[in-house]
Amino acid sequence: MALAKAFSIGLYGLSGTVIEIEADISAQLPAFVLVGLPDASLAEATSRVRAACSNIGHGLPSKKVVVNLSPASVPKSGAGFDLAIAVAVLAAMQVIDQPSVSGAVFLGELGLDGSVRAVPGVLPAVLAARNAGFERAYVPQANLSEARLVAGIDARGVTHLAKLVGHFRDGVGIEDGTVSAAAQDGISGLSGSQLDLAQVLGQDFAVEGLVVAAAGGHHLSLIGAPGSGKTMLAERLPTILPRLSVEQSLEVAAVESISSDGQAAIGLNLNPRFVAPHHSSSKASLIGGGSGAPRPGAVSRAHHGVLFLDEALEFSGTTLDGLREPLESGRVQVNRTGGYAIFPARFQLALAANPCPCGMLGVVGKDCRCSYPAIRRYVNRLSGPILDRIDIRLAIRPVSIATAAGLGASAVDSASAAQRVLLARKAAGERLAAHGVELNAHLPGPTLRKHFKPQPRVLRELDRMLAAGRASMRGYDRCLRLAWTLADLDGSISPKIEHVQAAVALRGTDDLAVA
Amino acid sequence: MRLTKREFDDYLRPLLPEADLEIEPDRAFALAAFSFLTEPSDLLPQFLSEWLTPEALLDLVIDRADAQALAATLPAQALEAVEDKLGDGLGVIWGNALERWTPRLNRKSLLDSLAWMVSGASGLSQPHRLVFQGSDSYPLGLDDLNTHRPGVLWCIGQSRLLAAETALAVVGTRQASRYGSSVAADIAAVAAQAGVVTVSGGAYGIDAIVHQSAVQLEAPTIAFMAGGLGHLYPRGNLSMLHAIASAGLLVSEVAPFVTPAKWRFLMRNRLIAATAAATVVVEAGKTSGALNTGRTAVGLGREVAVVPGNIDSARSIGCHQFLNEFPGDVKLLARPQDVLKLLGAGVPDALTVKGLGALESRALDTFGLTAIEAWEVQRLAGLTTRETQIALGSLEMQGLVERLGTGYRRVLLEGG
Repeated sequence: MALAKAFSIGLYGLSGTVIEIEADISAQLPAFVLVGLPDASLAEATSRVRAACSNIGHGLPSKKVVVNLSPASVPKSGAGFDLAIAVAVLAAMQVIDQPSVSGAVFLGELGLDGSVRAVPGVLPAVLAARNAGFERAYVPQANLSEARLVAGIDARGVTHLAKLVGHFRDGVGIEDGTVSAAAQDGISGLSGSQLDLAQVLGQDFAVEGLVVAAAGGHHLSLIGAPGSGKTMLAERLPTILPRLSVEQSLEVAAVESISSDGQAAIGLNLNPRFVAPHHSSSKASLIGGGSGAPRPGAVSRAHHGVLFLDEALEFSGTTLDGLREPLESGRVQVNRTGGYAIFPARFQLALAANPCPCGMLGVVGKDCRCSYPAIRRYVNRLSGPILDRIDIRLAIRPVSIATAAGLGASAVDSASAAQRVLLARKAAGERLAAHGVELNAHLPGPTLRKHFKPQPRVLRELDRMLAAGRASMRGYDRCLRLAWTLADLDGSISPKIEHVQAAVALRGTDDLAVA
Repeated sequence: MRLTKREFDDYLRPLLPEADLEIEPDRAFALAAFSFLTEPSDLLPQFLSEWLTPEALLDLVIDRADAQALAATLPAQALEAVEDKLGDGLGVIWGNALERWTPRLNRKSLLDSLAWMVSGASGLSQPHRLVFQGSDSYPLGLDDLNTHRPGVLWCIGQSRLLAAETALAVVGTRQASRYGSSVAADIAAVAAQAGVVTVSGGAYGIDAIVHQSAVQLEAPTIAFMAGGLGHLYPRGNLSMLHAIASAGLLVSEVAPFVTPAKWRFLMRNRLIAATAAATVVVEAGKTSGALNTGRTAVGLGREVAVVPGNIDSARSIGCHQFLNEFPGDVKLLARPQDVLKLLGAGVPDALTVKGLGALESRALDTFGLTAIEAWEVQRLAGLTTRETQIALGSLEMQGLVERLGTGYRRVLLEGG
């Protein structure tokens, strides 16, 4: 048979397309031609496949080999198709049997000696294969652990092309039991982290604020003088967030899979991630995109976790503005001429900033050296639409003062706080289920005001504040959301006056620096 | 010479503040006449007013009565007091006084001045008023000047400001530095927020900054003019002075067409010092007129403070010397907010709030005039974290505190 085919998965962003790889061998001038919209790295597959095949003793015939990647309209990139191309060609050469390879997808990069190397994106690719109805997936041995995270498909690890040929020709078992211990049970990250809220000194207000943020999924800002411990607090936010569900964890792993180099072991880590990009980050690295194949940014790696922007106002304005879409929709869409990629990005934003460029504005007993215009320029880097979404604003006490005052450790430890958060989220989840959201922070303003308005008596002062122009409508909504979260934490059925009052103290303002 | 009923209705009644309509017409006319006849430094009319009504004295002047005629109207202790206090016999004093006054004795000119006030020829639409000594609108503080008090104040604007209980004088050099300007503006803002009337001289520099800040903050401010209201000076500040007339008050103790001559400035300063309960000298060179105001205020027993400056700043030398000149009497203003302490107001009335819950009251009591952080409130009030949050949230909702940086500060006037 001079015509054969094998299947692989083309990834664009996180979504995979089944790529049918046809190989045809015909009696013409010897050549190896690859058609069907390959990019540069994929076009080089011809050389790798030719060398790999000949080095395992199945050199290509002196004929014309045409490999077609179909559908031709889908842009394809990377070396992940090498294995599938080799299989298709070997099947066309009748080295291996066409029917035996038909129900499987092949993923992996070939070395010239025929070894199969790890590639990024195996998890989403295998997921796509399963969804397309494939029963088996042959993946690089190094990526087997992540492929195994996908239930309902038989994933096999391949170390060498020769072994794969042996497997199909002679029915030799391909090893599938040597998966690393971590991937064996498929779950990691349940062990406790070194970080604990109890390690935080003298920040009772901020710790309380963190618990509220965790319980309601509220985005938060931490404002304080340099060195006051903003990062220390933010790092501990994931320790009080609930563990990810297996499903959420898979979504995160998929993002990690395509952003990895393929070498790192991707497991099912149930810990919410803490992603802290540096303030010099480009827009592409923060939001996603980049040259060539679209890659997920920090916002997607923080999916279901915490995105911490330290020195948030040192990020460039356009970079920060890129946060608007993911904050709004929980995802990022990267548009390209050839199509678009969608990455999930439902993260909890924690941003830390000094109150002004010198950091001393409003710090009692310190002098701010900044001019008023300098402060305005500084705080204006965060545009209104982003500030709008920051429900909680925490003032961070300079830690030196806290230690000097002999203040003890926080009375709250991560384990007990996490328990409170879990209970509050459960209460909120039950109440909000009918409205398609899980967390108070995700409740749209109109729904909030229509369905979740506490008694007028409770809101009287807040209404008055709005009427007097001391709060904006958005500020009002923020207070309402926070009041619900505070009520959830207290096990109260609906917010009481004290919850609204505390919400006002916690709420974020339209101006980051001053009230 | 006295006004007919009709003349009174035409020339004087329209100039009387509502509270003062009961005033004796003859007395009012006589006081107006003396402000026309005499220089501000001339204390004789006020000195004699203890025994002799202004209208009787005016009659004597018009009659060019001799000293015997005057003496006949005075009791014996008055004659002693004249010798005692004025250092000369009544004959000499009266002779000199007549020599000074009679050349200005011109009924028509006086009526023209009054007519100028009534007609609105000044071009300003605000009320034009005459506030007479002894009337309800007359500033209490000016009575402390005794015989140096003016018999009448010529006003354009809100003359009721003169009766304000606490006024703060802020004075300083005309060549204000950037530092002085910003401090003056801060002080004016603190006063504005606390509802305190600011008083100054309408001159360039510190005076102008104080008035302007008040005008911008729509807070009351009073400018005492050295010349008559028909000669607003300095001309460069004209638009600001007009703005003061609408937001506050322009005052002069001399008739409208009296020119702002040099000696009149020094006399004017005593009015600023006496009207205000406290005087702050922001910046003053070695010989600045602001120091004259300050010294007068010290002499009157008013609260006086100076703003410290650089040791090598020529514009602060006067302040520093002044501070050393009256140790104890002159204080150093460490922060702009301290002017409220100076006024003895401590915390203005607007700050006493009724109907607050226990948590809120405890939290609110921890606030001074500067911003403090939530954890400081917690520490000082002895509340839990949650209670502090509740209290601060409630106070913020009620507009009693507001956020500043990472902390909170008290809002001095609701909505202000």
